[in-house]
Amino acid sequence: MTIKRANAAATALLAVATGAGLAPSAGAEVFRPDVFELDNGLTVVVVTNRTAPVVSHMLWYKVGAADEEPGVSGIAHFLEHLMFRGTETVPDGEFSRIVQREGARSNAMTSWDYTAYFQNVASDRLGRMMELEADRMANLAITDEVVAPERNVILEERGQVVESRPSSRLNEQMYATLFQNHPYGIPIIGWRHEIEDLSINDARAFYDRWYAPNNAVLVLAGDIDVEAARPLVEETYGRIPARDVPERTRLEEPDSGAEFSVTLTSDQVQLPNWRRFYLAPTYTDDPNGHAYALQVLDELLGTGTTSRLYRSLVVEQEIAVAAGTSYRPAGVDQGPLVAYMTPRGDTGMAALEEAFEAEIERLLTEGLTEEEVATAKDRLTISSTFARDSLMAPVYAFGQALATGGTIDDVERWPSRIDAISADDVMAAAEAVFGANGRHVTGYLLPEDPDAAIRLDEPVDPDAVSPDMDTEIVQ
Amino acid sequence: MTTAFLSPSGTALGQDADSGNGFSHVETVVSDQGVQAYLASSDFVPVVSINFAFDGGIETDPAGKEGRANLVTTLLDEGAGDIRSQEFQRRLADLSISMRFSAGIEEINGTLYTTKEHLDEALDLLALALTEPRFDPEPVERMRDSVAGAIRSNTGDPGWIGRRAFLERVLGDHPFARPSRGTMESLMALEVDDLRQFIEERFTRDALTVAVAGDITADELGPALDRAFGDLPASGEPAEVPDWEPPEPFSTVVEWQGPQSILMLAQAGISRDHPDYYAALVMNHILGGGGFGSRLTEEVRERRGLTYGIGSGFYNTDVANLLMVNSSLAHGNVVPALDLIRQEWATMREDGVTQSELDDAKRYITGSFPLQLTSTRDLSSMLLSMQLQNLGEDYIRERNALIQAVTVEDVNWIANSLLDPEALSVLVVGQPPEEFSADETISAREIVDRELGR
Repeated sequence: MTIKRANAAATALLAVATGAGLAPSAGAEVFRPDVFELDNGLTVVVVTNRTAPVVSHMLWYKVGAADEEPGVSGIAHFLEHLMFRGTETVPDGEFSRIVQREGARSNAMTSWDYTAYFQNVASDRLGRMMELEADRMANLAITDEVVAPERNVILEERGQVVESRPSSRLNEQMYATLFQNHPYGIPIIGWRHEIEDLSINDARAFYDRWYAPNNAVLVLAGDIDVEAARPLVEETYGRIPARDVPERTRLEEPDSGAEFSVTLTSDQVQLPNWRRFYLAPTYTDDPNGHAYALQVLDELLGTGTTSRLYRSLVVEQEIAVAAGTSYRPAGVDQGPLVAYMTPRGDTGMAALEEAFEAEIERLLTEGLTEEEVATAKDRLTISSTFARDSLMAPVYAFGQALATGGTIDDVERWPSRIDAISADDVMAAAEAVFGANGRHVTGYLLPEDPDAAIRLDEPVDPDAVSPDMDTEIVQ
Repeated sequence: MTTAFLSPSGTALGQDADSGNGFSHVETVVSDQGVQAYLASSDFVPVVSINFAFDGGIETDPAGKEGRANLVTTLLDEGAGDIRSQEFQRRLADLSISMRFSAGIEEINGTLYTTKEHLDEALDLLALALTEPRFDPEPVERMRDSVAGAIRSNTGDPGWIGRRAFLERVLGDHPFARPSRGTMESLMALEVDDLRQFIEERFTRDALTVAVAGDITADELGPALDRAFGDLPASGEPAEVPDWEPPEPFSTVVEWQGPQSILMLAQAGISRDHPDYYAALVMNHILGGGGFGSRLTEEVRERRGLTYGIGSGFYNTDVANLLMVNSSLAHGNVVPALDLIRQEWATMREDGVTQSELDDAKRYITGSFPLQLTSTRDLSSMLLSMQLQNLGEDYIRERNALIQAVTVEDVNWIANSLLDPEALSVLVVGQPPEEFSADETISAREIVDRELGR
């Protein structure tokens, strides 16, 4: 899901998996949620916000594309599509029709680590959404008739969002290079030749294995409180029995001492682009405790027009029109911290890369000032105020945290944890990711005809090279 | 004047003791200097959001100077008064003030989003940006290169190529058809004097519309409006826009090598102030505007699997109103999809809609309305649109009643008088199969070369 920071500051508000306990401890700083768990293991988070008479109702399953068996890539996403195609009591097409009729905005998304379904709806119609969502958690009944057209839809989707976009094709290959053994190297939507062979049995098996209340988190935000939510949840989701769900096991990456790069040349590319994926910790997979420090580093090194990279490469050296970093620390396993640049004028890739590396070298050898770090921390922590001015921010924050092994406290105490970071912490994190023992892959997006490139750039938009393609916009 | 939000069941929010956080009413505030704004006040989160617009956007770009309005908007936050570019950006970032400008066809839009704590600094920076932008050489060249890059980048995007070609065919040489960023040639021709002339003519109080939401009262807002906008000149040049004649239906292929084709259709639409606008809105929702459940999605995606997405919608400006369809799909699916679209067009025109379809559509359109109003930014944006479209201060409260009043007869009448499968213009970017008959075939390369000045 590409969420721009401006629209959802809460993308930053995601969390580590070190806390204990479900309920927020004293000192909640951000959304002040109410949390409870049903007997069948479903976790429920409620955030009250009376701004408008609507509720966001979002169910997160702790399973995604990285939990697929080898050879059936895309099955998590395929199942997500099939979840709209009928249950024992709601015929194919009826789910969407009912949701439409209730005036809800409904969508679903698949990521490597989670699959989520949501409806934003007038608060007096919430009960119906819960009935439908709980029904398809337990009673999916897909038939052969719907499988072929839906598979074609997904092949069209792959054509539209990956194959038609050189930048997405490059990202896909960079993931496959950075992760040689871990399933993050396999695209969420799946490889085309494997999508073509996905069957109804594959989908049923995946559903039976993972879709259970004890493997899910329900987040409610908006015009609702915990007293009103509890009976609705008990009557719907509460009737579904818990089931044994397997442990999530992921293959480990081998050590690698090689330099990797991927080049994609296409006549669709009018504007070259340089990007690099560094393997970086996430909140949940952070053996040396660098994730929060990396968020501070991402802010001062590569976020916005006053960052080190933009100032040096764009304003002072005038060799790039865009330069920055993007880091999203929510994930079960380690993922990419992305650096990106777009050359300016006739600057070539080699010169650009050299200037970038010089900037990283300067960081590692000359260090940072406490003032730089303090400013970055202030900018980050103020984002929690803006996050409260949003219906969806808490839904994504809690959903992503809990679905990737984090806790409520990780979200609620995020500002304090950022605030506790020192310049030394940031330097240690920088050394771990950018230093000699780090691992990365470099990507070059090049036009077919380099002579055709006169002047080059792209507006500063981290999402332009955003590595994650985990959302499906079902319109 | 109190405007309560209506929940779909009809209870007025804001009158319920338990929902005191909601934005309970819209009022009009006029400052000492005569700056007027719609305000929706709420102290739920200590933030303030301001949306504003100056009349006259891309349409005012002089021939040969296309891209002027857009370049201005990239430079307003790149230094003003005594504050140079990097310092200006640093102040915004350090105080977490979001200040954005964009050039629309008919107006320049701006947003200011800040914590209540830093509102005064934010207003001062905005006032400087609007009245004394510096246009220093370094940021001007940096942004010019940045826009040039965006133009280059666009030329690799078949969707953009399609929209360019389509607007040119629909709007001809009308200013509305101008490329918003300009061409490479016109962008390079822009000089600082052009930019200054633009703000002198356009950024005036008589051309200004303002909307505010969040943690600010009417008493506080008056002085705030003057702080931000009080130094602007009282009046400037009104934006003159020529009339437009709709073209004959066309069928065009833009040849483009890619894995999929992009399909665009259009016919005459309906203006925002037409008495049957709401009937047309409901009709389009059922036809193709409503995603899942709408006829186009059901037929083309769900039943046949020909596409991942298809939708229809209205394009409305002061001079041109269109009803459009967009989709992208495998090359071989273009003809069957077109047949289905024309068929649905004809069916809707001849047979109209059923009562239950209408009831469902109305329930959706009324029920989903509050989903557009869940944050201060949503609200200030809505309050701005209400003013630009002359909908009045009570629109939020009245809007669902306007939808509810639409009958089957209303929808069927507008479907019958508006829809015409024969009048649909078609443009395909890609490689449609042989049996697609086009009266014109051009190559994407032609469009790209022209934009890039090759």
